[in-house]
Amino acid sequence: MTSGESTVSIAIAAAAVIITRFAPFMVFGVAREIPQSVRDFGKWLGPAVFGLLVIYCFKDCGSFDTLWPRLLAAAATMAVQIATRSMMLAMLAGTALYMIIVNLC
Amino acid sequence: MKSLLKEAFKTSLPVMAAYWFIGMGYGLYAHGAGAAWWFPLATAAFVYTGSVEFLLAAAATGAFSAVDTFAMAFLVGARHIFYSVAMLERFAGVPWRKRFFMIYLLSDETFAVTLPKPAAMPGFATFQLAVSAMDWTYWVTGTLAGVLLAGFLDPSLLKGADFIMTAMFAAIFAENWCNERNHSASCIGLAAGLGALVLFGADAFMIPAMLAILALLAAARRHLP
Repeated sequence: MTSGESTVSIAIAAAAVIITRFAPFMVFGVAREIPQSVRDFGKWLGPAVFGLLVIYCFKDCGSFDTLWPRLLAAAATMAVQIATRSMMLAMLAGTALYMIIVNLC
Repeated sequence: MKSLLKEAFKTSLPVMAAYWFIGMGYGLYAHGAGAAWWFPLATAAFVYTGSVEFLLAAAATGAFSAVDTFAMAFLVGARHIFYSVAMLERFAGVPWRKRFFMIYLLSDETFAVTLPKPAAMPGFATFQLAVSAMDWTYWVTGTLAGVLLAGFLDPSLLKGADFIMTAMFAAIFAENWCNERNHSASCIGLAAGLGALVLFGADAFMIPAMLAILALLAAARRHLP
């Protein structure tokens, strides 16, 4: 991408996230007008999207050699998160493990 | 006013730690992905949605596609539609010059730390705006620190540091997993992602995967808590 194309990409992405944030305020006056089923949908969308984003991180792991360090470190990140509920600790531990593996193996 | 700002600062403290850390990671990641130095700063300031920013940086050296960029940012950012729905009544009656920034700067973390405060508290709009502005500042300065760090460090020291994005998504996924009463939604995300990756390949699977998530959530909605 050229600098110009990058700038346009950022503007497009900014417009998209602005639409997601402002749409309810433009369309609805108060939350009572929105059916409960739609509000429930929002509760499930977050966890589902992060499931997809985890898969996204593995999209370029076409071979076993690139797959196993990432899989191992991602599992370690999740284990630390579940054990400590500290995102910072989990990210530090997982990233450190991954960096050790790819630098030593 | 002073006590409101103090209260806002106290509320924002957990976000400060997280945003400086992840923001720095984002600055480093974007540099490693080959993006220009200003790219992570511009996305941090104007897109201000971490997950979307990481994906933008990952695509920064690829081909330009207006449609793909919009669809990706909209679908990955779509959870914010529902944060705003939750804020409709809380922000009602606030003048637009304040409300505009309260809505634009409502990140996952700002949403989480301000939600326990009652909207009926005196000076609520000022408080909400102050927390939002502080959180935004942490994110942008954290990213700036990452960009500067990437410029000074020997690139060979950063081999494998790109894992920070995987770590962030994996940690949030695990945190959601802990908070769920059942894991259908998380599993639908994994399954839709994996299925679409196998069917459509690494360069074209995100949009079919998001559409599959919407369809599966709609189909399963009676069985979800």
